[in-house]
This record gives sequence, C-alpha cells and structure tokens, in this order.
Amino acid sequence: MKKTAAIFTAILLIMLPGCESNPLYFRLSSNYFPVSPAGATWEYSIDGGGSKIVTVVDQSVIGERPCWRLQSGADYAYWINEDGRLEKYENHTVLFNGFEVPIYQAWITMFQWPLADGMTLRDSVSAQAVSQGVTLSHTWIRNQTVTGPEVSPNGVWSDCYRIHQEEMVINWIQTAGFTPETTLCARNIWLAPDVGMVIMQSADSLITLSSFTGGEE
Amino acid sequence: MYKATILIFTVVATLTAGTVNFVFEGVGITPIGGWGENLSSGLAGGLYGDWLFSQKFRAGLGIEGAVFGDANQGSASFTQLKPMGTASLYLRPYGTVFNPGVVVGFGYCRSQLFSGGGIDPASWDLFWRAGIRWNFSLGSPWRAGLGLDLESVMAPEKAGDAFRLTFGVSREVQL
Repeated sequence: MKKTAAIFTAILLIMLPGCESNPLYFRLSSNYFPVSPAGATWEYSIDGGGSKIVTVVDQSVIGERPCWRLQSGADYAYWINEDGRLEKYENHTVLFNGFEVPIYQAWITMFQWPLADGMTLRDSVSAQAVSQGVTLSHTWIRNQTVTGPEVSPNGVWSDCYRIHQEEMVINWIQTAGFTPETTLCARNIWLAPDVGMVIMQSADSLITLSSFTGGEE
Repeated sequence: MYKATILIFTVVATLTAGTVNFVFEGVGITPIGGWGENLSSGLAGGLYGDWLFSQKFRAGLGIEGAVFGDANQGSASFTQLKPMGTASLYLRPYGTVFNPGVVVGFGYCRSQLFSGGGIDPASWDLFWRAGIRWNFSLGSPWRAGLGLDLESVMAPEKAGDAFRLTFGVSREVQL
C-alpha cells in the first residue's frame, strides 16, 4: 500500500504545478458568431473613415434550408449556424462579355465549433461554367488557423479567438488572350463570445466593432 | 503546494490502517447547459478507495477520467480528470438487495478541449458532486451500486454542470 500511496502522491505532485483556471466552460457555451435573432445589429467603424452596419433581418429559405438573412448596405447574406458549423450561402458569378455568368451556388462552411487554439481548417471550391462557348473556371482555397483565447487588439473584448485566414482565388477565362488570374489575401479576424466578429484586419483595411445590439429572441 | 499538502495528508491518513472499500465506477455523463452543445454525452471511469470509519460512513480518495466526443461528427473531444475526496453514508450497509446511500465528492477537475487539431489551454477548477446510490450485494465480498449524481465544475464565468449515471462494483479489503 505504501508503494501505491507514493505513486499516487507523485502523480498529484506532477499534476498540481501549473494548475491554472480559465473560463473554458464559458467559451464552450458561447456563440462565437451569432447570426440570430432578428434585430441583432453590429456597427463597425472602418479605419480611414466610414462605417458598416450589419443587421439580422429575418429568417429565409435558401437551397431548401432555413437560414438567417443579414443585411449590410444594399447587400444580403445568408447564414446558418447549427450542427457545429457556421455556413454561408455563396452565389458566385463572373462578369464575361457583359453577362453575369453564375459559376456556383453552395453553402460554404466558414467555421467549425468549438474553436480551439491551434485548430486548422481548410476549405476549397473548384467550379466551372460554360458561357458563349468559353469555359470559365473558378478555384477558391482558404486555410484558417485559430489562436487564442486572447484579448482583442483594442483591449475591449476578452476570451476572443483569432482566426488567421489565407485565401487564394484563381479565376480563368479559358480562351485566347486570357491567363489564370490569381489573387492572394490574408486577414485576421477576432471573434468574441456571444458577440461575433469584433475586429477584421488585413493588409489594407481595419474594421472594428463600435457597437453591438443583440436582437430579441 | 498548499493543495498538494492537504492531498498528501489525506492519502496517508486513508491508507495507514483500517478497512478500505475499493470501488470502480463506469459513468455516463450528460452536460447541462450550453457547454455541451457541441459535445456528445461523455463516458467516464473512476477508481475510489474509501476508508470505512464505520459500516455506514466512509470517506476517501478517488480519481476519475471522462471523455466527451463531438456531437456533430466533427473532430472535437473534451476530457476531464478529477482527483477528489469522497464521503458516503449508507443506511443499510448489510442489505443484500437494497442499501440506499448518499455520496458527495469534492476536488479538482482538469478540463481540456481538443478540436480540429488544436488544443485549448487546460483549466483546473474546483468541483463538487452529490448523488444517491442504490447499493446491493453481488455475493460476498463483491457489491455493486447504481447511482445518479449532479456535479458542477466551478470554472470562472460559467460552471460546467452535468448529470451522471453510474454503475460501480466494490470490494472491501483489510489493510
């Protein structure tokens, strides 16, 4: 028995240093990208001037799936946050010879829950359409890395996760005179619990949440 | 070191003499509240050594490990490791079919989240547990017990509450 006691004690001594508490259960129970209820409003200030207001308008049905419709300016976006993932409806079109050619319409996974430090996500789309006898191809690849929890860079929001996104888009009009057009983009997004996106920072822009109003359930 | 000292003294006091009831429990855990929204119900296993102060009252130490999977066929998992002190009171300790009892536990819970190849910082929090047991004989010297517990991990800002359904087998050993 003495041997057992010694082993047990040794295990405890090894485990106890660094016994730090953090709000893990709070983070687990928080919604890091709320897209409901109707009336919820995020107001962002844009570095260099201007503002952007995003409002949850109502529920809608897109692609036979019930979703939430969010408005920003004259644009609408459709979101679903359920079954452990956040999805956004993408309706991608390409302007070709004066026509807007639809390339694909699909629900794209933006994040998977729960977030954790070091989590990596990779999403991609490869689609093509033929218009006026010409093939238009589109490839989109996005790699995301999650770090945190941390305080947002402006010091306002705690228990945030930072999402580092690297996106590559290749558009190719497969006819004479056109070559594949590749665009690379990197950005950091800070998500705060039960608020959502509080800061989005890229090489040429900085958007900061200035006010948030939760809607009524 | 303060916490470690208390635990060491408790271990030594428990193991120096007397009769110890060793219990192995298998547990199903159901999270209460939003913390388990993206996690499935958990499975746990625990090993406890309870010193019999009397046939009715016993107290000791135990350790339990629990694991929760992803509720949405994703890659998340969540683990808990709980070293604890326990105490229990049984009303009919020699009852072969029906020996009702109450148990309480208090200790530390180490919680850690794994998701998508990432690992969140582990959190060590105090936790408590209280429950009822229906203890019965499996034929000397073995006994078994069915139980229902409520437990709460007292983490900052939000507690991790859960229901536990337990089945345990036990055996008394003279030291």
